[in-house]
Amino acid sequence: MNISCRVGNLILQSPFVLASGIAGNEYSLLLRALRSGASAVVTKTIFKDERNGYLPPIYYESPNYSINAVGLPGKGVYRFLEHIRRAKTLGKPVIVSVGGTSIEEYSSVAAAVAKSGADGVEINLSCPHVEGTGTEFGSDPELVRRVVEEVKSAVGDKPVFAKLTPNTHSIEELGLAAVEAGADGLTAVNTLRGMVFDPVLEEPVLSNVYGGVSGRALHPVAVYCVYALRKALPHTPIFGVGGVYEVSDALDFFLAGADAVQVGTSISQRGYGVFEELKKDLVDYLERKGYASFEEFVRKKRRWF
Amino acid sequence: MWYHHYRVSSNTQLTSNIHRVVLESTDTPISKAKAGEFVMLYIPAVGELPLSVFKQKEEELHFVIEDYGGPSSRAVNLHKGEMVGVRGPYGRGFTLKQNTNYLLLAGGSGAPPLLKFVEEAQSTPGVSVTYLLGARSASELFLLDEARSMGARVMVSTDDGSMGYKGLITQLAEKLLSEATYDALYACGPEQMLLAAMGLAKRFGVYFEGSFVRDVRCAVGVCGLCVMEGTGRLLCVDGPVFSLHELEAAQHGG
Ligand SMILES: Cc1cc2nc3c(=O)[nH]c(=O)nc-3n(C[C@H](O)[C@H](O)[C@H](O)COP(=O)(O)OP(=O)(O)OC[C@H]3O[C@@H](n4cnc5c(N)ncnc54)[C@H](O)[C@@H]3O)c2cc1C
Ligand SMILES: Cc1cc2nc3c(=O)[nH]c(=O)nc-3n(C[C@H](O)[C@H](O)[C@H](O)COP(=O)(O)O)c2cc1C
Ligand code: FES
Repeated sequence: MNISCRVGNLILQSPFVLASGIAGNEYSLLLRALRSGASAVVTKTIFKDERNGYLPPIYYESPNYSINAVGLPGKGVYRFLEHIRRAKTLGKPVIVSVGGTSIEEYSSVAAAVAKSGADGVEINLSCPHVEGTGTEFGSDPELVRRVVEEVKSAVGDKPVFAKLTPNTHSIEELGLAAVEAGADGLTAVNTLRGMVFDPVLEEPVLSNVYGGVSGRALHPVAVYCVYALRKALPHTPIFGVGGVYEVSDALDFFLAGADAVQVGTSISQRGYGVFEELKKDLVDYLERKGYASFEEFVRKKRRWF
Repeated sequence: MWYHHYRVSSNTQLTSNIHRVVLESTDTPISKAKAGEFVMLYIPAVGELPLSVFKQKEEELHFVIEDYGGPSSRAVNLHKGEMVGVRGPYGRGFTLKQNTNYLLLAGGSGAPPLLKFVEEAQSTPGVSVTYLLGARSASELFLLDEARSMGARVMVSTDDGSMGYKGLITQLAEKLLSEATYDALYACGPEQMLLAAMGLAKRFGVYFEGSFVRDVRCAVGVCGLCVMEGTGRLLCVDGPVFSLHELEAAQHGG
């Protein structure tokens, strides 16, 4: 059974990709995810300079959701370039997530990683603060447009994906802004802002007090976001992200219009084995349903569009 | 359940900067940890830090904690009655086999997982354990009687010679390895000591496991910050105990 797929001009052996920020800060970890069956990886979000991130506690998990505030730690783009080169040795796509606290930072980081061989750039548009604005960066369509334009012109012909936030009243507006500005594809979604307390200790469970919700609770929200984007943008490549644990979760995304999915939080419970299990279960599903390939399944006309 | 809640039941100073802290469960205790496995201790308003389990009874958890100047400074000053959160146990500990002659090297606050190993080894047939604790001087040595009472042969090294062998713990180990045969060398302590111990194990052809330290923040394999550089291994899930083989095989791209 052929489960390969295309997302824009990226050719993937399966529709299961490692999501940004999940042990994606070092080449040997990216290689491990690829060797474990991920068809491509998205790196940790890379900034221009070194960032320490937040001190623990940075992550909390319940059966129904996870919440994190890691604070985007990293060694800065110049020390990361070597990791991109090394992660590419298996010949599978390495997509580099770029961040910035200014438009200039986004585009200079993107230019550097594109030159070092990134197969694609994913713009993390959910940083809390940016130069001159108090609002969340990625929820302002005008800022999304300006960042995407600058990044696109900085990376030449490398595909650019805009990773969108669900913390907005209209994700279609953000997606349209990104695509009009030249984005080749979209990734939906990043985490949903949230907060959790430990009632015995009477303490927040994150040192940053609030953070981003991922995992099972995010899943139906993320699936809807993909659907809304697909309706507004019938031909744009879309990665669905949020709470993929079982193949049924991935099918939700495909039925809502995603071309492929990224897998994050479930790795904490299922380990790297999750990629091979998802692939096997997808093949079983397609065979049982009589599809000739994954491509045939995703291209089927759906009445909800 | 993420945090299991505990109340501090005692805090005993062992040396100028090392304390033994005992916690008592107030709801459900964490499940049984093996020697070398660790937990995350959440001290309200301070933060979390990774700690090896030193002793564990039904409701009790014991730690040996050294003051390094950050959150651990608060941890050594926990007072009776304070509430904390504990999650875990995490990771993979030391392997314990029957009919084995172990040489254990503990440096400073590296002692807790190895003392727990001594305890586990007690009830394992055919096992003999030599436990070495190294420090700068005699005043920094601790819990030697504890190790003796659990059946280990105990030897110490001090940099200034104020007690036991004068010199580094790895020099003492080298002397022992050239005098007698050991099947396995296990170590926990500063990175430099671990690397030196690994070198000894290679030279003498002895099986090696060491408990390492990295920047542990999530402890469940998602943040990636505890990576053992270049190995594809995460300390929090694949470690903190690694064998020589695991560290070397991975160096070559495994
Ligand atoms: C799996 C695991 C198990 C552990 N078990 C124990 C244990 O049982 N008992 C225990 O006391 N500690 C243990 N540690 C270490 C402990 O969790 C703290 O990280 C360490 O004590 C640093 O303390 P801190 O956070 O106060 O210092 P930080 O705020 O991180 O650092 C304060 C200063 O101390 C220095 N420093 C930090 N760590 C070390 C170190 N390991 N050696 C020397 N200098 C250092 C820093 O460079 C800095 O200058 C363990 C760590 C891991 C990963
Ligand atoms: C610990 C952690 C760190 C993350 N770091 C990043 C990051 O650096 N950049 C980014 O774009 N998204 C980051 N994310 C968001 C994920 O890529 C993903 O969008 C989100 O978690 C939803 O997917 P999931 O439910 O499969 O985890 C992070 C998520 C988690 C849980
Ligand atoms: S501490 Fe986060 S992956 Fe190990």
